[in-house]
Amino acid sequence: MAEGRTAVAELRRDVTVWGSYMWGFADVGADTFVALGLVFAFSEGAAPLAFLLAGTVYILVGLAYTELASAYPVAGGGQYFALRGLGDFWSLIAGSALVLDYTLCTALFAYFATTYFSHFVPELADATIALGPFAHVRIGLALATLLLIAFLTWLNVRGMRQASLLNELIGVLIILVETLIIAMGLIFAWRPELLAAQWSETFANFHPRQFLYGASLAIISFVGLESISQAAQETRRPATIVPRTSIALVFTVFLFAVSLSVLTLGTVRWEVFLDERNVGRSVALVAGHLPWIGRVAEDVTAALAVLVLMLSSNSGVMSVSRVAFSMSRYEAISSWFEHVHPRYRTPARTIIVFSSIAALQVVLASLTESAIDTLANMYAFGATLGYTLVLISLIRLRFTDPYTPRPYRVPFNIPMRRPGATIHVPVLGIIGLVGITAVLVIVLFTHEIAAVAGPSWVLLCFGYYAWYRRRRGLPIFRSVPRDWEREQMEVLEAAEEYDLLEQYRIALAERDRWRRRTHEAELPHE
Amino acid sequence: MRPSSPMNEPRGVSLRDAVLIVYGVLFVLLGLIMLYRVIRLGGNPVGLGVGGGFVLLGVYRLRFVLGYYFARKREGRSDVRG
Repeated sequence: MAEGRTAVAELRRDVTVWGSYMWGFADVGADTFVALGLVFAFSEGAAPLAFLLAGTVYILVGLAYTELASAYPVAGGGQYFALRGLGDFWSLIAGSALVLDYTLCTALFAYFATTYFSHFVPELADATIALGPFAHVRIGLALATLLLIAFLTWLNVRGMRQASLLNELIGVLIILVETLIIAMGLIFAWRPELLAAQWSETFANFHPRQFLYGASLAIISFVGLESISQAAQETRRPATIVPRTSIALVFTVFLFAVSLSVLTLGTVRWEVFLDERNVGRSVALVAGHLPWIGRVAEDVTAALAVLVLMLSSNSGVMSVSRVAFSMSRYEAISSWFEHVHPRYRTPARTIIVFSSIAALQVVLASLTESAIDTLANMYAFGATLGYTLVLISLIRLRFTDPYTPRPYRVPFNIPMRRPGATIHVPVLGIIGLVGITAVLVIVLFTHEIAAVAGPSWVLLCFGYYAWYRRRRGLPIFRSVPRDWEREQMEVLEAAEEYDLLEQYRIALAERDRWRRRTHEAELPHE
Repeated sequence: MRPSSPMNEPRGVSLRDAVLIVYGVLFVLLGLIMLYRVIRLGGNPVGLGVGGGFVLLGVYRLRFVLGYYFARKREGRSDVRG
């Protein structure tokens, strides 16, 4: 543990409030560029409803993340929250889901960056070859994606300062362009009569299974909030900054996703997204319908989409390395992953290993009928499984660790007097848990590839975990005893959150006083 | 009472405030345009919901920004007196 703490201290705290917001936006903000066409292809005219339902669940998950990331500002995100709330085994399950998701984030967004790029170079999307039983391998897109992943890996090994600056610049541009598309589109291009007609047609011939499939894919337009938690350990004054950036991000992304879907439904026929080439450049397609500046807007949107999708892919590289770093630190995977590069001070080994896994995912997905659908399928599985465990952890931690100060608390709680402490039962956390579990069940029942490959990945990770723990003489299903109170104090001290540290010490002292009194009262009976 | 300093005095509208105000006004305008066009066609639940949502969000954001601005102004005035 002491070795781990030394390594943690080496992660630099150089992410500011703006950097933290943009890191999250770079990840989540690009999701709409990926999900829009996919959701329309399945949910048809009910796509805005799919975005609204998924977005509501996402807001509840987002609030849970905000509370946990500001209370426990440690790299690892959902994996660390599950470790604190549920123990080593469930932390491994959450960690494997998140690692799957971040590697897929790298793969899926890099793939979409190339599909948007093919707006300028159509030959890239048209280049296909036959490889044995695989008739239509999109070799152009696959090779371009692999090159992009290699470039991002190099960038991340060199250090996060360069990447952070890149995030901030492109993030601002994207916010401006998305705002322009939505504002101009809703005023000049949006036809409510088209929206009403497509809405009525869909519900006149409603396919619940297809709608649910689309709604579960819509959840991918909100995945990535974890990035803020991952960066929390490198964020200055995280307890102050994380709630501000996280909540702003949750609502910005929700607004963009729902607005863009409403704009799309009133601007183009949903059937255009049955063509996979249009799915791969959906937002640019909508921008192309703007009056007067349509042609320019389409090109600018496609160009910016390439950049923001690259950032999102980069965000995946950054985050997976931090999850793996955390898993290694808490003895779920080998300490080999914990190594920090002596010159660049980045977790170089984890970056290289997991970027290679992302590259492998691209190769395997390119062999299937639709690489986009395959990657998105898996992405939805990893996200929903991880989020389910995070919400369970949020609820459990309210009972098991009521002493840790929470700079932000999910609203609407039922206070319960317990000996020595007051527990606040999170009503929205419970509603969120029901919602995200429902989405997970839908994913498992409707996503053919994810239903098999997702659990297989988790089992594979468990196999490695069991082998590693047995070799180290550690329990497999039970947790290794840890001094969480001491660790929490060290975390708050490293984050320079001295007020919270003081509050924590006072809460623990009150608990100890209460325990002593109870113990003394019991003595005469003994 | 804290001593009066340039840090405590109201500094007018910052860039962040200006962005919030512009977005607030934009939300209200977009929402009103959407509501007008949707209602004219008989009213579709999605259009009504999103249009109404835009108006409410815009009003909420403007209310928050104005409240924040006036609070800062009051705080600055009390520091000068103190």
